[in-house]
Amino acid sequence: LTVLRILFATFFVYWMCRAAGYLLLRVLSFTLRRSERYFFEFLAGVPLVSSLVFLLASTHLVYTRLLVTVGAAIMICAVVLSRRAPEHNRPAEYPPLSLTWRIVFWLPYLVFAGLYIVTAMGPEISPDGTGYHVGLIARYYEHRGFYSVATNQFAGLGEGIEMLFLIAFALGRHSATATVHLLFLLTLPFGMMAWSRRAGVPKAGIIGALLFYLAPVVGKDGTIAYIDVATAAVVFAMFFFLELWRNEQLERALVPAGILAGFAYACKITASTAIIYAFLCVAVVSIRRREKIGVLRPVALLVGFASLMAVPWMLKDAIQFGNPFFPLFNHWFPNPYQYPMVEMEMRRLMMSVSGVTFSQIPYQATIGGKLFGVLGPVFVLAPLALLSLRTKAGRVLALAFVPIFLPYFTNIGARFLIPSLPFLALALGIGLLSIPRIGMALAVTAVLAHAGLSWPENMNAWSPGFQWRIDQTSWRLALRLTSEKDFLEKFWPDYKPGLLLDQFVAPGERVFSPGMGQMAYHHREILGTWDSAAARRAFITYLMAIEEHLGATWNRELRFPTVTTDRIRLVSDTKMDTDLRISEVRFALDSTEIPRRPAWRLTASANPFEVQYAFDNSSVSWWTSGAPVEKGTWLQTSFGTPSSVNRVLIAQSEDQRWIALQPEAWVDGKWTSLRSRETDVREPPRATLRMEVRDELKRLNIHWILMPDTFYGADDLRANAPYWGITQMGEVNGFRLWRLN
Amino acid sequence: LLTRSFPQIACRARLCLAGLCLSTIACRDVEYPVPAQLSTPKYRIDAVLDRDRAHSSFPESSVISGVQPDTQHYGWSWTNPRAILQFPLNQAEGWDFTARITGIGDVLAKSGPQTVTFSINGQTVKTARLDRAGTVEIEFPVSAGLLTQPAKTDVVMATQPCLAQASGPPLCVVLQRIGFTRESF
Repeated sequence: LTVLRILFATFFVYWMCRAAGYLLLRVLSFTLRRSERYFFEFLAGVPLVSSLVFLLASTHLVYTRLLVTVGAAIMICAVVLSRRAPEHNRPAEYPPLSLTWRIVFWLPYLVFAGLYIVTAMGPEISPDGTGYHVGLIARYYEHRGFYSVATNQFAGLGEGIEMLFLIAFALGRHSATATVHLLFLLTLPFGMMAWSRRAGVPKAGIIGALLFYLAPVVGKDGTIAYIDVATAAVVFAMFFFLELWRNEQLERALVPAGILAGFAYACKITASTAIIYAFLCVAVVSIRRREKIGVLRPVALLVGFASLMAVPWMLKDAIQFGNPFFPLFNHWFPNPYQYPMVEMEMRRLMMSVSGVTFSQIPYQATIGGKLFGVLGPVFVLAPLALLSLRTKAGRVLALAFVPIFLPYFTNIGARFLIPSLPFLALALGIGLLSIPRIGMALAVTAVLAHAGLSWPENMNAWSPGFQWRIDQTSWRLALRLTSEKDFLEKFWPDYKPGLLLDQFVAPGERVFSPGMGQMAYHHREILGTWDSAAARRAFITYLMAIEEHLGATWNRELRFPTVTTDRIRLVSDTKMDTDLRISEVRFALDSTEIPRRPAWRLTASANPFEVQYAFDNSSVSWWTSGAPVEKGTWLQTSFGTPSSVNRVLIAQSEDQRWIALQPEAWVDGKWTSLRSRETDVREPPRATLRMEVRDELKRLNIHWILMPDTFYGADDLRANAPYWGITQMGEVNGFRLWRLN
Repeated sequence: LLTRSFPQIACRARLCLAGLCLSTIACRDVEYPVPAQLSTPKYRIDAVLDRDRAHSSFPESSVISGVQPDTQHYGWSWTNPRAILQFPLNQAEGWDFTARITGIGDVLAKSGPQTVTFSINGQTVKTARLDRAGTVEIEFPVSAGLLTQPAKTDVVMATQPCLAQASGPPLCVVLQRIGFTRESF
């Protein structure tokens, strides 16, 4: 039954998208060849179906029956329309390729399709899939739509493809999301070949399609609930419709092109350069044509439809996170959900995955594997793609490749090459075939070698070590002759800890879970160490009990001549890589503290949302600038009425001692620096610090800790559980679940 | 009308509007009042079996014998004449012994005043006399010398006289809490 559910969900999504795409293209009076329809009808429908589910999720109407009803209605409409008015003006099909070329394509295609289907049908255990692509979708399904996810920044990413996963999940659960992603992998080669035929390079289309389709990282990504292959398909479909507009002067092609360009943003933010490419393409071509209608109309058409797809996601983020581009650009759009510093750390990390430098990328991305996946050794020939520049098709591909490829440098993981890979693969196909005399033999040999080298069992022969690749294929598991639950329990360490959460944790209670990020197979809210501001706060708070330089208090006293003012700032005089953190600020006149009053108003130049933590009388809670401290970063207190002050007492973690703080007062309508004398006293970590940390975590609504024994500080939890005030409730697969008493 | 008459101005106006919306999100002022002031709590750790509280810093604390099951209250309540309990403490110093027992009127009426004797690791440390119905709180510091093997600290609670029953063990007093507490450090 599980297998049937997965297959039903997959076919349902495919035909729902195709039907929607058919209706759109029909409205626009498009006539595609039969060979083009498999891919382009599907892709034209994907954004529409995704938007429909977006609407349902926004209105909390994600019910299985409603999804099925809507999907069935769309399909029925398409069937009725196609029968009522058959298209007589469909362009003639291209002449069939020779038998040799058909064998060259179909043999590796079908063999790998079998491998991919078996793999995708297996249990979904991919890290990002179970973390958020499916993890969040499972939660949306539970909530019948979007809900406020304050603890996971990935909820802010465009989830265009995930909206299709939502239908798949409703009908076929976890594995169906992977098989829906597989649809894009199985259909994209046909799209690439269809474009190649129109461009007059059909054989290069076959070569390019297979180079893409067989690449190990593409196979791995396309058979799990990721979105990179789907994004590649969306971008390529956009490219196809743009080419249709450019070559055949079909203005209406800009509608699907615009929709797909905008949808590329909704799929993956790094694919948003597709919009820029489409915009420049339309603008430049229109200018060159000197059309009467001018440049504005086609550009407006494109941008308008692109906006229809992209803007709803921006609005969702603006409403939910206060940042239309969340989780990026937090520095420009400050919000309480993610610190800009974490974003900067992530960028830095992603730009040097596994310490790989830019010059090492070609080797690591093709053979090495340190970038988590490989394209395959055949892509060492990629420079031969430059030969394609001698042809018009090659130049067109290059123009599309460059903008789609450029964002790769923001995250050099191999799978981030996938959206631009179809263009490179086709260009490589053209390049190989253009080599005189040996071109065709070389191209076919390259494809066959690529197939042989990319077969999972063969990869051990040439790959230097661990590769992120298809490694668990079992038709028994795919057909569920082996129990999915047994497999998950035996082979996936993150599964049972999730069950532990469901067993012990009450709904609504947060779990600090620094070593287990899967959200797909349990129902509780977990915080990692960096995936939200709340998670980072929980992590640093936890570390205060572990790390002495965080647990020790650095008490500063700033003395200055008495000043009467209604506003005082503490201004950083240091620029450092770390954030500025302040646990407590008190003001005094001589030995008398100025009592904190409700009329006081608190703010800061950075992360003002958490400024109250510096005034809550707790030394384990702290305000953070949330960004690397700059000269001039400030924390401000407005007293409401003028007060006389000559001392400021500041409590911070010891690691903050190197950041100089200078008091400034609002005097005579301007900020005046106060000449201060600083006295510092170090206070060692308090004996009760662990329990204070526990209580602070509870104030953050964290009532549980799920931690692997290997995690930093886990031994302290075990050794000093009584001093933490925590109780171990369960232990499984090296994880312990602690309840905060 | 604006679009037809002044297309460029209208376009710029739209751009300005979009810019305004974005800048409103990006540049909004955020100010907060002083929050509620947190009190400084007193932290204690405890190795306590508490009828009304499930949490303990030392969850391995256990009843060995002599406390009758009570399904409504974590499985224990009435004591027998000799109740034995075990507490896995992690150090010898700084502990206070704590207990809360309740003398029951019906029992006292039939058995007369009761004497409850507490022993830690075989040494009598406290005797409480129950003359009438009601709850008695017992708390006193424990000498570190008594806790020679902190990880295996035995407490015996001997009560006499008790009320014999026709069937089952005699009923003595209701034990609500027993164990050890100390400052966090």
